[in-house]
Amino acid sequence: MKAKKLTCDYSNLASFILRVALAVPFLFAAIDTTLQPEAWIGFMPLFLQNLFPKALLLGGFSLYEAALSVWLLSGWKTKEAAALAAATLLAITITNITALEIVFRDIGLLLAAVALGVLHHEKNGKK
Amino acid sequence: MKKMLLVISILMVLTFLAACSPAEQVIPKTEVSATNEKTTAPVLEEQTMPASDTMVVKITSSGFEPKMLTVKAGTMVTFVNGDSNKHWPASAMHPTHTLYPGSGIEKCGTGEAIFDACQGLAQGDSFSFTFNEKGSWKYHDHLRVSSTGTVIVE
Repeated sequence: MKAKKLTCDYSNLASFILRVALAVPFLFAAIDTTLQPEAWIGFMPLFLQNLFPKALLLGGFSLYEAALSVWLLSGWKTKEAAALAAATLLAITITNITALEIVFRDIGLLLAAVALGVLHHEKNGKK
Repeated sequence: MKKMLLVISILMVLTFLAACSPAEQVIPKTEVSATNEKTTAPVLEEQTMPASDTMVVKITSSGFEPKMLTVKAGTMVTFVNGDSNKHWPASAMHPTHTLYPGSGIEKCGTGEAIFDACQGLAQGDSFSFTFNEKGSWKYHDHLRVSSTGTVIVE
């Protein structure tokens, strides 16, 4: 009887950690926006603030962030979810680049989203 | 000769007085002081303050003007909103506003003198704060985080 060699796919664990790492900040932002809208409206580009009522703008973006968070956690079409998360974080970083003391964390999250996308691109390629 | 000396003396005194009189500054219609009290004065009311004790930072659609201001300790800086959008000057960092010693958004409404307008200033409104602590104090617009400035207190 041949002994089975135990193998562990660490890429699944890495994917799970990255998905949680990205989902938690999005979920926190979504919840905190509803609790302290004035702390978050300042991150919205001025043209959007002028285009939409602030409550609608923040409410809509909170729902988007919450949905993205759930999508990331679900593990369904992770590459696409990671791409959307990266695009969102890139937009947040660019529109608030002069407040780099605050958005520097978003650069880390953006690269984590890129890493998640690359990981799943590779996994999909192996299938 | 005596008459000429008298005329020259009068002219010198007048020149001296003109040079030393305090510069006039128009305080906008609504003033939010560092104690967070909002007082409304008549629109046309003017107040004069010595130029050395007060500096003005104008808030426009493109941000704070000037972005960097150097003042002596004890100087009052008045932030005047000249834009149609609301603006909320406050100490860095967003959203807690705790960089300037003693400041913090949680202190809004307590009556403490903090570097925080504690509300959006409408066009023509202003917020004044006296900088007693020496250092380089960054601030931002709470309603537009990318809009920042610095007050250097010497």
